Amino acid sequence: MTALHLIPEVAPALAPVAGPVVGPVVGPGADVAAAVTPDAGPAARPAPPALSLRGVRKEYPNGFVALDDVTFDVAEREIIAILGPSGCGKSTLLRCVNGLEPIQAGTIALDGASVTGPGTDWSEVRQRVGMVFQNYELFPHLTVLGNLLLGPLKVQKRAKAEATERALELLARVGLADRAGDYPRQLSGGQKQRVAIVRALMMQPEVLLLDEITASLDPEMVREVLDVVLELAADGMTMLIVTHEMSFARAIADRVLFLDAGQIVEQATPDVFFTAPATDRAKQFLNLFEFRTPTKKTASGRGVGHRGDGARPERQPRGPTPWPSQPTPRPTAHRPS
Amino acid sequence: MPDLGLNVLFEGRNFVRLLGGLWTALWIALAAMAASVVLGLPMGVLMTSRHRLVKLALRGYLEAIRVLPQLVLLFVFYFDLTYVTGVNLSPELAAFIVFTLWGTAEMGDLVRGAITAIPLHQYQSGYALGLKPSQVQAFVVLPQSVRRLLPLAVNLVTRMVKTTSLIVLIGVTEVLKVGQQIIDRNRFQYPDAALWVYATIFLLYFLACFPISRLAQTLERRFAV
Ligand SMILES: Nc1ncnc2c1ncn2[C@@H]1O[C@H](COP(=O)(O)OP(=O)(O)OP(=O)(O)O)[C@@H](O)[C@H]1O
Ligand SMILES: [Mg+2]
Repeated sequence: MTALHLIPEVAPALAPVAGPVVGPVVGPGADVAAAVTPDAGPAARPAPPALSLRGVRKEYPNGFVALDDVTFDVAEREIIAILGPSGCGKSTLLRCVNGLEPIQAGTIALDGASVTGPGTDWSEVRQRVGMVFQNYELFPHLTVLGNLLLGPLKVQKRAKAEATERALELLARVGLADRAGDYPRQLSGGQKQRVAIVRALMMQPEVLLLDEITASLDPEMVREVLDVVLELAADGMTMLIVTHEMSFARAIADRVLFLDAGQIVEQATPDVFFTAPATDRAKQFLNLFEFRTPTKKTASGRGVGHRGDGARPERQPRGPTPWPSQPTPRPTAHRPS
Repeated sequence: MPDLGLNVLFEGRNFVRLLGGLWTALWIALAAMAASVVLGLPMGVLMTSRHRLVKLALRGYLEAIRVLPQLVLLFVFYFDLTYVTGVNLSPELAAFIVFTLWGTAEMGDLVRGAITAIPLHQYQSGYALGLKPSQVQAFVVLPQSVRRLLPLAVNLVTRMVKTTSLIVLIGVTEVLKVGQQIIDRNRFQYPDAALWVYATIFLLYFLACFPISRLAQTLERRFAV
C-alpha cells in the first residue's frame, strides 16, 4: 500500500481496531497502535485518546438541541463512521469538535487536554483537527497551490519552499500533480474534493473530520475521492467520517456511531452494526439503504427511492464484498437537501 | 456667408476650451469617486455590522440619497446652504460634495453587497485551517469582495461622469457650459453650430466613458468565479 507519508513510522494496513461497543475506548485501539509504533513510549503508559467527548450538549441560539449528552472516545489511528438520518446532528457534532460551533455543556479533549475551556486557542486546535466539507469550499480566488499554501504560510509560518514541495508531493499522491496552477473553477467536483483533502492534510492534522465529502459528487467521481480516504486510513490517520456511503463506511470504519435526534443511539463494529443492529432506530435507518428486489410493477425495475435517471450505475447487491467497485447510490428520495 | 458649422470648433481656442470643460467635469467626478471609495468602504463594512441602530441609520442615509434627484441635492447645497448658513461654496466645491455624498452611499451599498455575497462556508473553511478572524477577512473575504466590487465601482465612475452634465445648472463651467458659450458667441456666423458642438460633446463623453465601461467588463470577466 502506498503511504502518503503522513505518519512515517506507521506500518501499512492496520488490523481493524475495534473499540468496545459502548463506553470509553481507550484500551484495544491504543494498545494495537502502541504495538506497531516502534518509537512509542513505554508500553505501560496508556496513551490518552486522540479525541474524547464527554457529555457534549449543543443548543442552537433558537433553542434547538442538536446534540444531547454525546460521549465517546477516539483512539489514535481509529476510524469512526458517524451515521444517522438527515438532521440528526452529524455535521453539528463535527463542527463542535473543531470549535466552529460553541458547545453549551460537556468537554472535548485532544490527547487528554481539554479544549473547551474559555482560554482555548482555536487556531491551534484547528491545526490539529482538519476538516473537509461537503461542498469542497476551496477559495475561488486562489489557485490550487494558493489554496494549499494559505494555511501553512499564514497560520504555521512555514517556509514557502518547503510547503510548496510538500503541496506538490501531496498533489501528486492524489493524482493532481499537473493542476497546481489551476483555479478551482477549472476542476471537476472530484478533483476539487481531492484538493480540499490535501488542503486539510497540509496542516499536518492529528485528526481529520470528513463531512459527507462525496455527497455533492456525481457517482462516477465518488470512487476517486474515497480511494484517497482509504489511503489515509492505511497510513493510520485518525478520522471521524460522516457519510451516506454505507459500503464505504463498512469497509473503512473501526467503529460505527449511530446518531439519532442528537444522541448516540448505538455504537458497534461495522460488522455488527450492519448485520445485527441492536436498536429499532438503527434497523429503520439501515432499511432506507436496502432496495427490494424489483417487482413487475415498477417499470424500470428499480427499487423505491431510486431517481431512475438511467445515468446511475446499477446498484450492487449487498453481499459479503465490503467495498464494491461501484458506490452504492444514495437513496435520494429520503434526503431532501 | 455662413461656413460649415464644423469649423466653429477650430475657431480660436474653442476645441481646447471644450476639452478644458470636459476636464473640469472629469476632475470633479474622479475626485468625488476617490472620496466615495475612501468613505464608502467603512460605510459598507458598518452596514454589515450587528448593531441595529448603525444599520438603520446608514440604510436611512442610503435611501434618502437615492430617492432625491441629484439635481435637487446640487441646488440644496449650492443655493439653500448659502441662504441658510451664509457659507458661500464655489459651484465646483458644492458639486464635489454632492457627488461624494451620493457616491459614498452607492459605494457603501456595493461594499455591503460584496461582503454579504461571500458565503458563510468560505469563512468556516478559513477558520477550519486555523486562520484567525482577521486573517480570514484579509486573505479570504477581502480579496473576493474586491473582485466582486471592482467592476461595479468602475461602473459607478461612468455614472458619475455622466451625471456631471447636471452641474452646469449650478454654474460650473464644464463641457456643456463651454459648448453653450461657443454656440451663443457664434450664433450669427455659424447658425448650425449647436449641431456640431453637441455632437462633439457627445463624442467627448463617449471617449471618456467607453474605456471605463470596457474596463469594468474586462474586470468582470477576469474575476468571474
Ligand atoms: N444554525 C442553526 N440554528 C438552528 N438549528 C440548526 C442550525 N444548524 C443546524 N440546525 C439543526 O440542527 C439539526 C442538526 O443539523 P446537522 O446539520 O448537524 O444535521 P446532519 O445530521 O448533518 O444532517 P444532514 O445529514 O442533512 O447533513 C437539524 O435539525 C438542523 O435543522
Ligand atoms: Mg450534515
